[in-house]
Amino acid sequence: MSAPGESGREALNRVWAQPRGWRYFSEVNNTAVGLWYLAAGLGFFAVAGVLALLMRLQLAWPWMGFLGPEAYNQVFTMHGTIMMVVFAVPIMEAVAVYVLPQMLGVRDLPFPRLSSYGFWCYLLGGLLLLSSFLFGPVPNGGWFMYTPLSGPEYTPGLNTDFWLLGLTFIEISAVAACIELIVGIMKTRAPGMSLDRMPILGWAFLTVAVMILFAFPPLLLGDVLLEAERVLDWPFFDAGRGGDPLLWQHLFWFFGHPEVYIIFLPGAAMVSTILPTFCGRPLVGHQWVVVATIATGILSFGLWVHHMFAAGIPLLSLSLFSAASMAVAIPSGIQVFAWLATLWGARPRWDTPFLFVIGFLVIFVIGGLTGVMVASVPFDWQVTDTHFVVAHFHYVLIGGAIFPLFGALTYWFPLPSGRLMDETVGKWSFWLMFVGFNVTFFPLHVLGLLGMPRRVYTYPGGLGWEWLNLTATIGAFVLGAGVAVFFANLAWSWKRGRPAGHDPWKAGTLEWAGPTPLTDSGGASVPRVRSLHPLWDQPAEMAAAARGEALMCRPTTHGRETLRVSAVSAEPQQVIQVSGPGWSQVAAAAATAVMFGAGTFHLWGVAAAGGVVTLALLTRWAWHSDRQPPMARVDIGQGIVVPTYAADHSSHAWWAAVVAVLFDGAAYLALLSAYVFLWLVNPVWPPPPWEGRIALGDILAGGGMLAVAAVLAHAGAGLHRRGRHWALPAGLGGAVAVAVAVAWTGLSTLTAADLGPTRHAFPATVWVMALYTLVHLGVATLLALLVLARQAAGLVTPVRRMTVMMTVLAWDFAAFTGLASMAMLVLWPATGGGGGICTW
Amino acid sequence: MVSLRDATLVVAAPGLWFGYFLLVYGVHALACRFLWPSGPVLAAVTALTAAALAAEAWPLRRLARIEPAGFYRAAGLGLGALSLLATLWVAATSWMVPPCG
Ligand code: HEM
Ligand SMILES: [Cu+2]
Repeated sequence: MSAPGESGREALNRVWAQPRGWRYFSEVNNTAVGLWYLAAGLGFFAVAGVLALLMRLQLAWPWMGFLGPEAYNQVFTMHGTIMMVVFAVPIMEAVAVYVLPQMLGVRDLPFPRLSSYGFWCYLLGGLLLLSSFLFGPVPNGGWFMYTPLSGPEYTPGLNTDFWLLGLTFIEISAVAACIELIVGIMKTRAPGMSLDRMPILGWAFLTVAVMILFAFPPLLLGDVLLEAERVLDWPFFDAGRGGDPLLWQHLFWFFGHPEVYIIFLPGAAMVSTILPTFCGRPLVGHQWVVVATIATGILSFGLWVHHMFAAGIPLLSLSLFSAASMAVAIPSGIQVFAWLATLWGARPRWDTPFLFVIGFLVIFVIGGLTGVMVASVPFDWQVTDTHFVVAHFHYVLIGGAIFPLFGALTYWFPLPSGRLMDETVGKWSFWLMFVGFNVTFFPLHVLGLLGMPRRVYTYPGGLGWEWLNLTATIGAFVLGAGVAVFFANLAWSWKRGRPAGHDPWKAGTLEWAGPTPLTDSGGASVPRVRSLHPLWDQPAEMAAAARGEALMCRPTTHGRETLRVSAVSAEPQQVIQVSGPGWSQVAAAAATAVMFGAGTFHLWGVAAAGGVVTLALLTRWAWHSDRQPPMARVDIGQGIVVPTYAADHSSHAWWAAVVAVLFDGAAYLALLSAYVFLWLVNPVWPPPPWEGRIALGDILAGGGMLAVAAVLAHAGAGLHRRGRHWALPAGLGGAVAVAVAVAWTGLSTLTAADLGPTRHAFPATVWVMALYTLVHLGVATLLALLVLARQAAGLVTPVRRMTVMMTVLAWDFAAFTGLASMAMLVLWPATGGGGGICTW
Repeated sequence: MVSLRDATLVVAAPGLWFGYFLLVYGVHALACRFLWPSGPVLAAVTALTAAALAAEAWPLRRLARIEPAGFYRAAGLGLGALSLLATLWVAATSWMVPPCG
């Protein structure tokens, strides 16, 4: 709605205006949050890079005394952890948050406040992890934190806890990004951008978001179990009490391997974006690159055990995972051939972004080759834990992520700044990095083959390792210099670079449709797209859109808005009001940090207070969401009229809820798998003391009550929808009452069964399953109370019922997983002559 | 118009492969623990997966009519073919290597 006499563009600028001064940090829009995200990621990269240089200094020559063994352990752990989880994954999320909305042609993704909360959690989590340098107990167990080394016995200090703390925050920000990206990519695109016209970057981030959805939950579970072992002495990983250290390895690598592709796929997509622009022609085999992206994403879930080849696992696991690891080279190969075919016969412009792309191709192919080598088990047995592996994964990670990323930063730099980075300096930074990189890491292959182990703080002379190490160290400083030059170029060009003007690279995708720098509103209007390269194929229409002559050229509701479209064909479905500036996400992130930070120091009172405040803030946030603008339908231009509110299964809010539940469900599946795994490694399960401890009747009664609770919630919501207002309090109230009864009887049954969780992994796992259900019943209860309060305040009606739908979903999920846990306990066949936990 | 269901079908094949992969892994783990013969189960699972992957080509044919550019059909067939290849590849290894030990 514009004020009288205000043009559409003025109205847009008003509602999207970024706050000034310190209030700038209350902004939630992608153009601001994306930038902070990028800046923070690069900051952490710099820190981890300095740590790398320290290590290379120490390794430069035999018997250097610069870093002692303990310091070296800490430094490689922090370097690896920061690079992998605090830099590489988040910076890819940052690129997505910043660039995707523009590239998809919309003003913003649907949940800017959530993205922003994710950013603040990420920033605080990274800083908390770094703060271990101030407090002393720096994580020192390696970036994969293997048990039992990381367990309570061998790491009694807080080192591991700091690591777990940092990872918790990365998990939170990853969930936020995952919801935002899946729903955003599927539901907010320019009209007409059907999936077949979606750029590769969109496909890559969609794939990556789905991978996060299934890869991060097992890690989350592992973190919880490890922390429980450390703080409560629940022996999940303690072989003496029925646990197994390999359980940690499985949970970690089920995350850790896909993570590598979570980093690589966006990098590859940046290449697929930059390459066609500089060759001035479409990517050859666009759909094969889409196929390869999706296939890589899914195949990468079948590789995790290749990190455990030396752990003493069965022969068949070795060969299965070896085969799968080689198979994944096929889709990567498809991408490489598509790039080569695009290059073939083209006359590319050799500007800095293109140089980085070529650097990527060279380095990544070498890394891929050594990857196929280590996928072969006998070879891996020779080189595992040597510097050969260090060389391999830096070739893939730096080749696959850093080079494309730096190319992409140069490429998209005009969007925020309106300027180009300096070309000459850019070329210098590239060549320093390229040469420095190879001089550092190529010799490490040889060192590895000569037998130099990784993770050793020094080595004796006379083994022929000196000169190679010295070369590598010199290379590392050259590489470091290249990075420093790149950063200096960024800083200098920000204010003083050459003005970029409109579409400086003659690109075909929508982020270049308007002027640079981007306006706060992200464009004067939203175009209708008919091609994969709208700027190449429909230039007149795009120019008109940039003048504000297409859709949504004025805010039709009072606030910031973005367009929701149908998932596949991208037909307009709804104008969504998105959040504007505010502090609740910053406050919630701070409270979350207090909660987990204090918990790490075992300051339980403070942690609990932080938890309560977090909960209160999230409740307030939920209270203010799902509001309906006063106008039911609005005209977005060209005669298209869409609703401003929808509470059905096509709604972005519903999709978000489903994604959240899938994440949770994946965590639950990981828990069940852990249970099965422990059952497999234990000769008798459950162990004799717990055989027949629970009456079957008790379990059946508990299961029945869970089902009743879900049915009550459904019935209440269903009747309410048909206009019976009383049914909502009756149904949800009934469900809450039943939940309280289930919790009570469940807890007393478990206590009576004498399931002391510190005695054995079996009772500990049973307790985790029970607590899982209790927590979910608690969440469902809170949601029910929230809905009832909203109903009392007139915010929930039979039409405006999205929160009701979500609440019912929460009840379904709690009941379903609870029933599954009970079925598992009762039915999972007892072995070794045992009779199971139930008396029949 | 290409529906969400069609699009899901297009990306279903690698999911099938993953399910297959986990099944093979799981069946072997159980078989080695309890000394069951795993061969017949594996043969059946492999045949089923391969059949399901091949059967996917049929509904994809319909897409050829509603979508002239061929994107979804090509993507569906490409993913199907890759998944089939990966399935046979995994099956071959699980046949050639003695499972337990
Ligand atoms: C900037 C240049 C870099 C240099 C000079 C460098 C150097 C090193 C060195 C010397 C080690 C320790 C080797 C050992 O003794 O075991 C190491 C380990 C590692 N690096 Fe880098 N690195 C760089 C960038 C990166 C990047 C960009 C990533 C990831 C995105 C990364 C991920 C890792 C990981 C995961 C480890 C293993 C840590 C562990 O053993 O727990 N590095 N790096
Ligand atoms: Cu891997």
